Amino acid sequence: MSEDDLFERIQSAGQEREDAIVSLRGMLLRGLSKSLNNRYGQPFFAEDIVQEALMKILDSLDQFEGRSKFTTWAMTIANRIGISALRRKYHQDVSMEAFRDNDGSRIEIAIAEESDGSALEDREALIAKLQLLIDSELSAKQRMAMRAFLAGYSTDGIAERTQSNRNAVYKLIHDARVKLREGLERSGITADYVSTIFA
Amino acid sequence: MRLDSRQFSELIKLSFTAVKSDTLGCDGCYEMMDQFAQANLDRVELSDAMRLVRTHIEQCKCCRDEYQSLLTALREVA
Repeated sequence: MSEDDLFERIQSAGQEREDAIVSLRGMLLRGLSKSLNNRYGQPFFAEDIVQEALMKILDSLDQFEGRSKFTTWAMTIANRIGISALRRKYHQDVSMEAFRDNDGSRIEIAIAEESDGSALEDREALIAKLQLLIDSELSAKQRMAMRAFLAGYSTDGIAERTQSNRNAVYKLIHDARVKLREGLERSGITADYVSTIFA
Repeated sequence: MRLDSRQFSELIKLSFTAVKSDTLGCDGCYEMMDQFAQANLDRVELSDAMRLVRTHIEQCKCCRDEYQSLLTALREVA
């Protein structure tokens, strides 16, 4: 059965449609079982996810515009449903500390130092600069999103906890990253320099 | 929250890999993820729109994980 066949048959009626759905279901099951099992350290119940995905795909057939193969489009939908379910389970086990704002969403850098001499001084100077940038350049929302991300939350997990959306959380973190990079570079601190002092 | 050494390293990496040119966002990326995956599977040259998707995927861990998972699934059934 070709790609075109599958899409056309799913839109048909009777046994032909049923057979096409069985084919699509088998393909999604095989693909997601391979890609999502044990991702985020979570068991993956493919049957349940594929059933949910199939319903969404069948309800959305009118949105398939043929910009990719039908099976690629369908797998993209199923993959989103599967990975979102795994992330929700994963986040249940991650500490909520990052979201507590009783410390003003502070991000504190205090690393145990094992080096000596000039490297130690350089590291301390870098850490002091980074701490200053975090405290002075980032908003409270950016700090909270960043520390939740560093604590292991995905952007959609942070969005769920903060009643926001993935796009907005991504922008908070991304803008914070750019601010930190620009601030460090203004001080003459480059990625190569950091690699050198932490070598 | 006090960062441990792994989180500090991650913060440094996140900072120095940030680029301003990511204008797409996660929603835009998802809208075109099937096309981007198809282009990569078919090994065709990326259009300007697909390059935006690539830039976002390089910048966004969440979308990158999702895309890598998608590619694995698609290669399994190819």
